[in-house]
Amino acid sequence: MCSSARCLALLWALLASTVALGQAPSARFSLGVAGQPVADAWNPLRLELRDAPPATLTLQIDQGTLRSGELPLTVSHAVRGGAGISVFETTVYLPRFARLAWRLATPDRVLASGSVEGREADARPLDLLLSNLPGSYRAAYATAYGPGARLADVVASDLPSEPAAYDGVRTLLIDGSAAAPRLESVAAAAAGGATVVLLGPLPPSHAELELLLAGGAHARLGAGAVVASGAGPETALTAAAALATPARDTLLAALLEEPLVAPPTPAKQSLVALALAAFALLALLLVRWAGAPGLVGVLALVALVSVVGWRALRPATPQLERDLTLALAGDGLALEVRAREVLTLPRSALSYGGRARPLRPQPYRVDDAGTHLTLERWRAAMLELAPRLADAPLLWDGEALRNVGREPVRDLVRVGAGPLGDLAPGASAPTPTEAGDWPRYAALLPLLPDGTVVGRSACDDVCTVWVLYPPAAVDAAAGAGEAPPARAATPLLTAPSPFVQTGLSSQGGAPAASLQDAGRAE
Amino acid sequence: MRFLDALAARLARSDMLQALTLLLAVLLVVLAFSWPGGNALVNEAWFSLAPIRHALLALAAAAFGASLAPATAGAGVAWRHEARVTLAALLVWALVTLPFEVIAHAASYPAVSLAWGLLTAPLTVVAYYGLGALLARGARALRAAWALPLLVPGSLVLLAWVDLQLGATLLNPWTAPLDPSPAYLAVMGGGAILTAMGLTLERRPRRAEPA
Repeated sequence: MCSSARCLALLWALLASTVALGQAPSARFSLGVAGQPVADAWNPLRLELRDAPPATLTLQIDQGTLRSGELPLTVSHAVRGGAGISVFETTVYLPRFARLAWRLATPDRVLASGSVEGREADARPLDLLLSNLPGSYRAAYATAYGPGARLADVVASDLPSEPAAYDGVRTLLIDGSAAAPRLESVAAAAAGGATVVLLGPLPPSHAELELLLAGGAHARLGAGAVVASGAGPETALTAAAALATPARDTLLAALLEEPLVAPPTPAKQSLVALALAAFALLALLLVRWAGAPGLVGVLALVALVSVVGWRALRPATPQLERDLTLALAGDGLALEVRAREVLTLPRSALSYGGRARPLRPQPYRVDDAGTHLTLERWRAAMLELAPRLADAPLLWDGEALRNVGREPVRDLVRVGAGPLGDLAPGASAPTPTEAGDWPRYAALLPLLPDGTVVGRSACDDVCTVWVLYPPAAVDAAAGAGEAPPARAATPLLTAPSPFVQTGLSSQGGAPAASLQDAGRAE
Repeated sequence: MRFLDALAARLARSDMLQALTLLLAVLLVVLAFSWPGGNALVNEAWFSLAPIRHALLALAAAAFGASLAPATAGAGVAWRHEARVTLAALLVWALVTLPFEVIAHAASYPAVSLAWGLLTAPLTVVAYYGLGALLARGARALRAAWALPLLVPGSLVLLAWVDLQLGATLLNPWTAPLDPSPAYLAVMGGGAILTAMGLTLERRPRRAEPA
């Protein structure tokens, strides 16, 4: 027992410490949809702060391997913070990493930090389950996609509304048993490349999701598709698997088999040597025999040779750049992935606004201003800008094609049927041309399913290659039912690090940790 | 005789003409061998040519400076004129060899500006010319003029070694074109000013002490 004064003092101290703890700033860091990041894909990053001052969030990712050594990727963003809860969201490209560390810090102190080991990196695509009974779908997924499916239980609020955030998502199953998601999030998932499975019958709260189906049971939207089925999860997932398309990375790599920019062709060695030898000989002769006028002539000759040589041999710009956009279109929406090749002649520090990532591993930095990397002399880098949505000019109008855009779509090819020609704005019948396939299609066409239409537009400056998959109903009816291959590793990457494990890992018998880290105030 | 005529005559003298021929031949060979041939696309010619050009110009300037240094403190007007004309001839060398560097620079596209090379080459020539003259005067004072053929290249090697030890480009004409450094500019500018002062200011001979 304690005396009343001592008890009061103890109680006061307890209350004061509780209040103090409650007021300490806290941060909750989450990478990946529902804290399940997919390596070699764009992932959503979310940071929830409580009572935190303005600070800087920094991610240090070592994407190196034993062979390459450390290849740092640094992502840093200013986070506003403030009283109460504030949320910071962005999308980052997560390569296979050896180690990932994050830190939220002000100039004076570190507010929160955490780290994840490389063995947590998992490149398998996610299958999201928005259901109160997620465990009941494991067998159906194993049937449709094989035993290696990576299922993740999510709630509606876990779903991002940016299409790029679904880069690593293969399917999103909604059975109506959980709270309804926002239509924008589901549309973003489909347009971003995931197959959305609406397992019916859905309750009235989910009715707006049927808008995505445009009255049918299957629909393509952007790079993905929406499937509705009331015939049980196996049938629905088999139909979804039949709609699977080749991985975006694979298609982009096929388009980029040939470099986009070519280095300047050097002048012939013999020509340069002969020209300078002639100059030297003439200068010596003038100096030896022509006296003062000869000396003036030599100076004029120096100026002439220098100016002509400079103008003839100097490339117009220190950097050569060219873009190529791959647009995966469906139902008027397209997921655009822009690749940019830059070749720098002098060593340069390059900066690009927005989010981008080099296709081959190399050190780079991302911040609020954009993406920054340094290239050595005469080196090229291929960058992939974060996927984004755009209007698609190519549409299926029944079995016919229609160009609803403002520009003509050229060099149309239907896989399995051959060249179609050009399609003028507003037209629904291509005009045959004598030109054959565009050379860049050569590696792309064999990867696409029969019936897919490929075309290109605006190749003067930025070339866009449109890929329009056959209507979903046609594909689903074909119903191959074969499990598509798991998401292929980026063909442009080198061998994976021995430190990186693609399977779920656990530490000390504990279940595998998600990449959700509740940082403690330090 | 006009200065231009004197300059042309100096350049046409066999010692200078042979040395200039040798310099141009070396630069031509270096450029031809470092220029990409066959299927090679990357042009690194400037990175070989510019250091060699600067180093050879510095060596030639130091050598001519040493060879023309006055034997006595009160050198005559004729010597002073000869020294000025020789220095001007060496600056013409810097100009005559310029197209080699311009062409290599244009095709190689280094991050270093061409203006840096245009600025440092004449400063290096003038500063090293003065260094050669100083070396010669010192060697003669020590009655070691016979060692000048060794002292001149040796001093360049020593200065390059000092730069390496300091980890900076202050004195080394080999690394100067590749590594723009205000310190090198300051040192060479200072050396060039001292050389110009030595060639222009008259020094009165000492009066004989009264008996």
